Amino acid sequence: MLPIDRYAWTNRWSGHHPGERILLAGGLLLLAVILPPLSTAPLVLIVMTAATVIGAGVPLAAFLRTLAIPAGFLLAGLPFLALSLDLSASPHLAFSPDGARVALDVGLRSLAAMSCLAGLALTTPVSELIPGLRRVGVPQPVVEIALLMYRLLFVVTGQAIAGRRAQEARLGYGTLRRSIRSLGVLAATLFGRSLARARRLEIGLAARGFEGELKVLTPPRVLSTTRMAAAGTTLFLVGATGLTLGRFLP
Amino acid sequence: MHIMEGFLPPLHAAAWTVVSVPFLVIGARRIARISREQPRAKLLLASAGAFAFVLSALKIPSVTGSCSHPTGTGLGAVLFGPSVMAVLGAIVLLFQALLLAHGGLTTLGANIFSMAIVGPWVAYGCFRLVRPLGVGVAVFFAAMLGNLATYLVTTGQLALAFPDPVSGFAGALTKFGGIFALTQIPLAVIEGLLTVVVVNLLVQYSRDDLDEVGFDRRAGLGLAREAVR
Amino acid sequence: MSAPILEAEDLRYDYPGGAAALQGLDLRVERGRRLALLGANGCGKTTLLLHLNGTLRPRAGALRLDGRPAAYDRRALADWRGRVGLVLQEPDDQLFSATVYQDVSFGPLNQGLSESRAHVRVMEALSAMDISHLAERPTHLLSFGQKKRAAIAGVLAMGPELLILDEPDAGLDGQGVVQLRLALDALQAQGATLVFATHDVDLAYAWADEVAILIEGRLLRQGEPAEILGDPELLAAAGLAMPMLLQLAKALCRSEFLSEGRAPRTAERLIAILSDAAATERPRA
Repeated sequence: MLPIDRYAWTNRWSGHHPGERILLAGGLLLLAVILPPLSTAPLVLIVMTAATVIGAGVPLAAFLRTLAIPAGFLLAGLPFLALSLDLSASPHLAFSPDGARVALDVGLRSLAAMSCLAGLALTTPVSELIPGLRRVGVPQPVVEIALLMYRLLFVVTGQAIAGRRAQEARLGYGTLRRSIRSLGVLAATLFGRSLARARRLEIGLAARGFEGELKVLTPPRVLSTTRMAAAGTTLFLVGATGLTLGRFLP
Repeated sequence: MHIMEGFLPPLHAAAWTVVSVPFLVIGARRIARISREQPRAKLLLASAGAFAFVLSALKIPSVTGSCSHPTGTGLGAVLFGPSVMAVLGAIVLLFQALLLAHGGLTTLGANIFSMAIVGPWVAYGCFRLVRPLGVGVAVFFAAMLGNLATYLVTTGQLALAFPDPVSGFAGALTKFGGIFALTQIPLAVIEGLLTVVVVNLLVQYSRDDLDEVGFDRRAGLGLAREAVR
Repeated sequence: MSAPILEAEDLRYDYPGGAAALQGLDLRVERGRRLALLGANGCGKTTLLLHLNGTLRPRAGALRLDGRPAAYDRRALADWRGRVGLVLQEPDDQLFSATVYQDVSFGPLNQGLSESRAHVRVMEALSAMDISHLAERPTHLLSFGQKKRAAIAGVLAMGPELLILDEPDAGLDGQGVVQLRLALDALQAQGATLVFATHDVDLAYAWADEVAILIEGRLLRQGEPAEILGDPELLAAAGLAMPMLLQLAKALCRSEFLSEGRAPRTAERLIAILSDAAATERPRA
């Protein structure tokens, strides 16, 4: 249903403490965004790809597929940064060397950053990242809602796919007019079912003593000092190299 | 339109996050209060959020033949109210980044501002303003303008981050806006029509559900409902 | 007969819309037995189940748990639900957590158990449902049968004396039903009482110690499976078919292939009887 999620649960690192991956991917993301892109971005891209594919054992094809769509959008958008618009009496577009430089930087930075997002997403289930929101001050009820949303969205997605298929089988998307109507019916149905599910969930949870808190046990995961140190060292090396090389590059 | 990961310069990314936070704090406080008063509210809000995620992942047909997705901001705002929608929208955007690699973590603040804050508030404002002309008309304008407002904000965010080398902010706004205007106006109209279909169906068949999420109260449908009984 | 663990008397309940769901329903649940609630769609089975753990409160009538009248305050309900576990028909209505382990831990934690006690309960429940290997699996990647067992484990972990299951076999394949029955048999052997709603007469006949037939929110009859499910008029009134095995046994009796007496409850038993009969017949032929 959601391929990224499947890898997040089944990769080699999925038994490790999520903090290790957050440090590595989050740290690299930060470096990619703040350090000079020309020198840093390629390094980040290489390290993150290696970590995800060689380290966590996510297939390279899956990693590239995850990057493909956002990278496609990126490529489509960059030319507009390289073009300048003259708004004078006769408005016209022209190639701008300054703009091209910005486009190059943005393109590299964004691609590197995307690899960090993809690396984190492919190795760490969302449900292991959300509890961390508590630490940045998100209130407990909102964290609980987010966790429950994560669980429910698979149920709703399943219904959406089934509903769409049933509609297509009866030619519900033949014309634009009919498509809008069919999609509207699908959305309204999903809304009704979502609320109905919330009511049944309430019964199911009440039977297990629900009185407002959605507290569960999470098996303790040990933060590995070795891996944390390795991630820290990687960050330091990438950061230092990026900064140093950045001085020699234009 | 999601701004992708790493696209914004760090200062812009940080600034939009700072701008979004107060709205999220207000929404989160409201959610925390509602859930304290009513334990079941969590289940309802999570269901609503899951619905919003799936809604935004549905492909809508567009006139040009290419496919696009509804923003869902209009529907979300009229169904659940804009302050709650800010938080649900923010979670949806986070999930889109982590589950679909759509949008990003560094650009989350900027995307939240356009899609979970401005879009829903514009939609909600329109809905209240146009409501006297009828629920259908109000829903249409709410969803359409909510969608357009989201895109205008995104355009503004991009223009601020990447002013045109020759003509500056105004030039960039025209440049980015020009691209979006072509594709986005038809999509906004489609989203408006789609949302009308959804709300009409819900008003016809799911009055209790609408009541439960507070839509009846917001749309002032309560009296009509009594009259029907 | 021992004292019933749960007893309902003249239960009446109307749905908010005004439609009557229970209209003076009586029921006795004997300790340690398997009771099947049978009835056509809309006869009030699920509504009744929701009364048995205090989710719904009857408009009139009485429910007695171990002979004591049910109370509906917070503490009484918490105690009640710890003793009477309810498993819903659709596991997706019950599983709310990201992983199986987390989900199963919800009930024990709500009972106020310490984390270490809760952990033990979770592991026991997972092993009882034979899904220990799925503990760390994400709930949404489970098969339907696995989800169903995870949902049951979530209730089992609370250590209920009475387990109520709504349509436990619905949506399961043949093997899934067999596995589930084995797991539930083991529970019963440890002293648990089981109540399950179904419209599968074959399952009820093969597996229940006792059946109760519901019709329009009332109890039509409660008693021995063979006696009740072999009564064509009763079944017709309840909109149910006769179990396949009973139909066969009756037909075979009529044509004198099978002697009167206790009808076989499983296909294997029927086959054994028939092969015996065939073995004694053959020399004459």
